[in-house]
Amino acid sequence: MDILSSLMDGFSVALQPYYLFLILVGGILGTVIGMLPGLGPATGVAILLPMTFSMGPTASLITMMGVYIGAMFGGSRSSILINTPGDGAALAATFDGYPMAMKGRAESALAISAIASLIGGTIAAVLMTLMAEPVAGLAIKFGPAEYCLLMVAALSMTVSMSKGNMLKGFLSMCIGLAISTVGIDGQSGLQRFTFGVLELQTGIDFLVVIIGIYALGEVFKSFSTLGEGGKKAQTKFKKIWISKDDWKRSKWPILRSAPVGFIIGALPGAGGTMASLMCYNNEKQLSKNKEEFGHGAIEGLAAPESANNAASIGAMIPMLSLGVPGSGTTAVMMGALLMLGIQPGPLLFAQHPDTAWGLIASMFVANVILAIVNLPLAGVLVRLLAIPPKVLYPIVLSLAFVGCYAISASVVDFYILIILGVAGVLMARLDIPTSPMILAAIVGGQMEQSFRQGYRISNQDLSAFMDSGIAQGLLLVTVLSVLLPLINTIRSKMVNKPA
Amino acid sequence: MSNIKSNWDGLTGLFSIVFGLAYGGYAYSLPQPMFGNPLEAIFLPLTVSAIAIFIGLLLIITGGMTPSFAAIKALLNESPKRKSDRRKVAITALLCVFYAMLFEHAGYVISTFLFMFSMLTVTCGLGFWKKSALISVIFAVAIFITFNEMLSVNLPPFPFFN
Repeated sequence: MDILSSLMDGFSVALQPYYLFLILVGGILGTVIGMLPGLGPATGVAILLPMTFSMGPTASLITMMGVYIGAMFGGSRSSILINTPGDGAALAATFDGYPMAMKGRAESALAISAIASLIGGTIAAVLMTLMAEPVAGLAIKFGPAEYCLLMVAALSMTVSMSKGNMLKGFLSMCIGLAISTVGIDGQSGLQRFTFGVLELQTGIDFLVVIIGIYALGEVFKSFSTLGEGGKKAQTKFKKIWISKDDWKRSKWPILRSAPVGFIIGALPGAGGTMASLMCYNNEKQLSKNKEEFGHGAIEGLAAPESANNAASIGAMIPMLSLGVPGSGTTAVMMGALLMLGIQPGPLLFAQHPDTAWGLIASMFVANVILAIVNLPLAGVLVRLLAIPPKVLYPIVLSLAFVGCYAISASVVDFYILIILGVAGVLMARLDIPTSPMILAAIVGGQMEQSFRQGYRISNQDLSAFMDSGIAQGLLLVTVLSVLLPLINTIRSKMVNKPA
Repeated sequence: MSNIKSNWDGLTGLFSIVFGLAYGGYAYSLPQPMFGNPLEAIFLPLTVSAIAIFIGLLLIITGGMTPSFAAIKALLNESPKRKSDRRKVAITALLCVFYAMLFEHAGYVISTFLFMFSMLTVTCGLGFWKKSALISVIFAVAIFITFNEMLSVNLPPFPFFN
């Protein structure tokens, strides 16, 4: 009952005309950015972040929520119409969405994509409502030792789930932790790795890291496709809706995929790409029409779209309840909250209920608004796919710089941004995943401070880090997240070994 | 040599070791704090350094250096188009550095116009210069007005009109 009344309070915030307007504007901007190839929700929220600086915390978060959900809706438009996903999470939408469009069923594909996103997002928002406060309640029991171990567990899970080589994931994490140690040490006052640069004394803002890797890095990487003439998207449609048979085939895949997507989204480092691909494969296994998958099966589009949106909401759980971002986008949102003087985590629900519940209610509202925007206005919105990347990328670069300046008002951060952009390209070339680095740069400082507090409280006794049940559970998660992929790799090598 | 599958593991391992040594070495040489446990402030950097060196060794042992040499060779022999793409990235990074240098001295509008115009020239070519100039002016002025007037974010003004 408490949850219900809190949610109602949240709706009384989110349904105010000003916030509805912000959700609408943020949602449309997010849809547009999500549609543009290479620019995912994290980039979208990062470059639009300065837009929210003059707002209060609730308005700022609600706008970013609109951008986030809009980008998730928009990501699949380009997948369906030009076979180019807006971001990784929309990749699975190309498998059956584009073949549907090729067979003259673009209207059904666009409609089921919006409907699945709406249902998936709404189911996830319900789960979020039920889980956010209990998880936060559990987190209140956390002491410094548990907090430190929580961040270690989040890092090890991100490393083990990142694409490619796990060792390189660890290297990426080391670079991120190194970034987090730049600046004056909060407990001893010692200047670390500032190299005499005054501006580095306050450390490297992790938003600069995120903008550098996502905005500059992605644009640099996209130069290889600049010369290729983009595919022309269909811009004229009949009625964008689905038939009864389409709904019959899609409803169970949508309903099944939403909770799976939500759970995967809540795991740090997993995210929408993994959720959508996993649900696509699940549906393929369960389907009676396996042979249709890859050739325009509507359930092959419905399932990943539902999972993808549910994952984006699941990723909010660790950020809101524990203060640990579950994805790149939630990391940017967390940064925005910190800049506004609000610490995300277990006390958020007690200290800022308007912000926390207003945000949760805005997830429901944003899903409905975005479905309404995306169905009738699809034809108008996809015209933006005609903007050539040659023009778009310089604009994104300039927005990244202005966003960076708005954060710190320091040109020194421009150089850091450029270094990180180039590092993003090099890391892609060397197959080093970037997500462990980003998460480490975000949680590294807090992890170190928690470790040192726990170490002092326990009179420099490290065994205190294994005393509580929560700490033991987190240690188990850490060990298993590293060991399981290793065991799987060794097993698959043994199976594939020629006799 | 031709049958060797190229990868960057060995070279990445080498980078990891060099990074670990440099970072750990610098951390170790930091002055001791005035109060508290002297090791506390460098405990994390030293741990990170140790992990990086260990990961580097593992990468070299598991991947070997020969595939990395093959990867470098493949990189040098890449198609002219890929080389041109890399040149574009390098030019863009340089333009970004010039932009950073100009930003506070020339003001937002002038520096952004020059940056956008040169970026659009890199991506669209010289033949597009009229449209590039128009897009650059509109973008720089619109963003300046939006941020300064509507969002209360003060961007560097024109140099002579403070």
